[in-house]
Amino acid sequence: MTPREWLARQRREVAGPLRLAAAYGVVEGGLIIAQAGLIAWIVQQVVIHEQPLIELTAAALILIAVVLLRPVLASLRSGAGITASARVRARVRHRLIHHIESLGPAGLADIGSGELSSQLTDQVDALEGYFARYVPQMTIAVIVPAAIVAAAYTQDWIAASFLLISAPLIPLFMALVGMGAERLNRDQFLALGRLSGQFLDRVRGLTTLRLFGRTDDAAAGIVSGSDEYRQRSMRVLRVAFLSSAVLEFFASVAIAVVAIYIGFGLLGYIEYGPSTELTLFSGLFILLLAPEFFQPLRTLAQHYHDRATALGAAELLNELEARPVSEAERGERFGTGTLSAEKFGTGTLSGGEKFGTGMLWIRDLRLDRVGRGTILRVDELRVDSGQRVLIEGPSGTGKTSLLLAIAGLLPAAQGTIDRQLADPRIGWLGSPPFLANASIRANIRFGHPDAQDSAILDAARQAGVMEFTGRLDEGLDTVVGERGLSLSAGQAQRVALARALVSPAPMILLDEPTNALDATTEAYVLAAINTLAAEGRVVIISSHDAALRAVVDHRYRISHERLERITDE
Amino acid sequence: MNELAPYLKMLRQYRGRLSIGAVLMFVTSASGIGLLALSGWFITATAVTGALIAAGVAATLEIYIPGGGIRTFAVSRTVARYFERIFNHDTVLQLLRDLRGRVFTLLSRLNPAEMARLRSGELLNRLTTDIDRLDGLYLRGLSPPVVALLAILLVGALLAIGAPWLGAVVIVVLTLMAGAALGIAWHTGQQLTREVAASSATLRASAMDHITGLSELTAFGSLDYHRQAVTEADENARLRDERIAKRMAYGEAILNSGVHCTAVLVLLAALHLFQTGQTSGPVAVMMPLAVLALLEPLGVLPAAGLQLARARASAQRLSIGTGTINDPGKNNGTGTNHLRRRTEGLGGMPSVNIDAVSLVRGAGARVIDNLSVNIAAGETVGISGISGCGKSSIAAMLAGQIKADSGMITIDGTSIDAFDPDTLYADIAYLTQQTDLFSGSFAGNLRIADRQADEPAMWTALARVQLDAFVASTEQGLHTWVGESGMELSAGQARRLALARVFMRNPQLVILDEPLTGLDDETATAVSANLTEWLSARTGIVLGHGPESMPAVDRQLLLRAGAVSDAY
Repeated sequence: MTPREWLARQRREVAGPLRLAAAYGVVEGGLIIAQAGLIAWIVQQVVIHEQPLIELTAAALILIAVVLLRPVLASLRSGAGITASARVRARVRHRLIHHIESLGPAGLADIGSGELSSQLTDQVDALEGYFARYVPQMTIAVIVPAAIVAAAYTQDWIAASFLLISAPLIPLFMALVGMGAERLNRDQFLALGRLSGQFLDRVRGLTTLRLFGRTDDAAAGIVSGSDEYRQRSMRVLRVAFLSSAVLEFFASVAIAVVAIYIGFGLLGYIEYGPSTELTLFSGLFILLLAPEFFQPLRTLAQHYHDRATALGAAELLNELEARPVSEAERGERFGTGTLSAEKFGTGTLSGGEKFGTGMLWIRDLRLDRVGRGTILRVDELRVDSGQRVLIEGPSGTGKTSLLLAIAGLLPAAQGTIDRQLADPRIGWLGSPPFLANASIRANIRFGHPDAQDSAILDAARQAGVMEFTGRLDEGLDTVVGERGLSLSAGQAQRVALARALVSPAPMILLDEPTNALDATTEAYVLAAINTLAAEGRVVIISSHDAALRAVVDHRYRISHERLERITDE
Repeated sequence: MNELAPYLKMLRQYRGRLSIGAVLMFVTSASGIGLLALSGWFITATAVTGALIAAGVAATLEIYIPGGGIRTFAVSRTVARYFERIFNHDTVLQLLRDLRGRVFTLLSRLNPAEMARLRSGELLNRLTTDIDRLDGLYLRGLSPPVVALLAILLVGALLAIGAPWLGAVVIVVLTLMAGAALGIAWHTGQQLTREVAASSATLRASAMDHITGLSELTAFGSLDYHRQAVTEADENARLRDERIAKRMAYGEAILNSGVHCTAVLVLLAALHLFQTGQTSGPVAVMMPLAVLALLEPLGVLPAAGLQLARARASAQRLSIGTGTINDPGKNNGTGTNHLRRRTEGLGGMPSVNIDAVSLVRGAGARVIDNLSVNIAAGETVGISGISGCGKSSIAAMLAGQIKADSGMITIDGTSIDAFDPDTLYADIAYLTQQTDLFSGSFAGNLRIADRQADEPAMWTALARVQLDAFVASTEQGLHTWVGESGMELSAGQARRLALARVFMRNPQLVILDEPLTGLDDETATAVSANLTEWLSARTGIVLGHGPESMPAVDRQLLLRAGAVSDAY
């Protein structure tokens, strides 16, 4: 789908409000014609026919009503457009969120999270002007000028022809000017990108610049770069502004030509066609309509950049939406029918009370990552409820990929991952641990949204979270993350542990859980691993930390892209 | 308006240009008013004369002056508009240039802690938008009200031809109307701008959470739960967006209607004046048409009010620390320390003493706990530990970037706090964990380290990091553009370029934070050997995951739980 087609599809989804906005705009155009007619008629009656003003009260009242009705319609038109635009943005954002969710972390591995969140926020918002203003105006800019010409035509076809002839010339001239500007514009765009990039990365790299004693030079560089950009821009703008000057020119000249033609006609200097029948009414009526004829086109030209912005956003959003979601991934997400009780595994080593008996059984698994080919093969890995398994190996060998596959977040290229567990939920402790911009309590709750408050308190206590929240004024309700209090690595890990403890997941996956920890937190992690297993959960840990060896039942190692059991010791 | 004061002050040096720009804007508006008013007068005059002629009365009308006037106004409106746009955009771009330079200087005076906040916060995301808002302060915020007022006065003068009292009344009414529109837009704009900024920041944060936490949320089965937060933030943000957009649209519609009503009332009044013989027909028609021509200059006022409110919000965000763009020197980023600072550089290889240093982060967690390390002059010490254990904090403290919460660090016998930062920086090389490359050429990036560096020196540095062959293979060699809108470098290549920058200096003290991250084994070995040789004549501190991730050092320490041990 091209960006244009993508936009057209969004347009169809809000066709109703968009049509409504255009309809209000057209009615507003009708009022404009009525207003011009009434003014011209009243003037004609008073100045030419010398009718007392008092006898024209009715006409004057209608005129005032028309004038008062115009803002109502203008507001309705804007309102409908704004509503349409808000609805489109809501739908697109909603759809994108779902698409991102179905792509999953593996499908999104090659896009930065910053870029992705900017698409979800800024790029979606960039559609605003196009739907709120540009699209309704496209219809208005065709119908209203046509209606105005028709109205002028009833009075004097020559004057109407002046307007009619100038109208098609406008887009023609604008296109001619625009074509030249387009190429210049592209260069300009590149220059602007470079300049903004240069400025921002100098701000980001200020520490480095300061260390090298180069901040003054960098400031001078920014000034000279901006000045170069200015000179380049001015070359482009001199041409680009010509296109709007063309519109202005036609609008001004049409008024002038119409005025002079009508004036000469009224004086009887023109003895051709309808000119002899011109009256003050018809002349003034056409004169008042002349600027209104160009107004919708000028408004459209003003909103033209909304279209360019929306097309740019459409390109990015369409690309994201077009990312295919692998079917395997969809199916994998919540296990393959492991909910039914008869599939439960049998022989477990340590009988869990809370989580029943079950197991994870992987056979002949092959994992591929895009661009890296096969990264790991697992002949067999079986972990029963209550067992703790450690997967060792240097970083970059596929430990995290294996955990992702077990969690159903990375589709297997081959083989089966059989999760014979009572609940499809899986506890995941990433590295680094995920902390949302929310309160500590809400962060723990992600483990089990329906958890009782007391369960959250218990988990927080067990994971050592209470130890540091006690010192905070708002305790568990302190907001953490980038926009709140920044926690140390150890504190963040404790919150993640509490999340796992409160979760009803029968299987917990821990990715490098002792990375970057202080001794106290490490003790909490080790204790929690034991607790989780004692509750009857499957516990799988990936780490190269030797300290974890003491608390696990089995150890595996990844070497030469293959998972192998460590049986020595 | 306090926040805007420094920007208004900055505009002052452009007085000349700004006045010319405003005059051009006014000429455009005045031509529009003249065109419509004169046309109305002309048509009516010709109609009246035509009617007299038709009635057999000998009447004449001088048509060449008004006809020429109409043509002149038509052309002058177009020409003035074109030059006004060119001229004012040039002014805006000049302001943009100055603003960027000044804001950058202001930011460069921030102390390291403020800098860290700047980097992580939303300010950086919005920096270019904020600057754009401020460079448009004059064109879109300040000049429209001025031009509108002048246009109102002009129309009042035209009306005074027919009836001076009517001109005065219209001036008062329209000025009040325009002032109210501007004021209301400014006030609601301020409130709504704040709300919109807050709600869109919340949306951004929750969207970001949804993406970064996708694994956790999916696995735990909490996606639906968190999506609610995103949806809520989205609805909230959209609601505010909608509200501000609708208010602006309604404001514009009401103001337009006000102008139309005034025009209709002027029409009726003028016709009354005509009938009572106080004015001529053509003048009576000219009067309402002149008022209608005000739609253009007045219509932009609500947008101007909003623009002013937004510029103020941007100025507020940009007022970091105590400096202003007019006098960034006020905030020199050195805190409250009034002691005389050491401005004498390190004479030779310094000794470094870290004495009982602790660093507290977040909610009271001790990242560094009572750490003591002594490094002799010329010695190179390696400190290893798993990522996040506080290695980078040690490096940042040694370079004076963050302050220890207790304890003391001395370099060459002088406490780090007592150094003039720039003196210290001149003699140390600190490779930060994060690779800061700048969009620009390879040469430009290397010259950050040494402004005067010639090409052979740059090639030598590139050879030391094994990047020479790669740079030579690019189309423009040292002049190849890298970074934004240029060539993408891999993480390893970027790291090596940053290292090359360090090699171009001749420091006495070297702090390397994970120097070999992202390098493949073969390259790492070669670069490591060069580093070892280079470090032999300097005092050095190298931080990394483990001994294998750093060059050979004299002494290896292991950092764990905030304290070190001689583990190896």
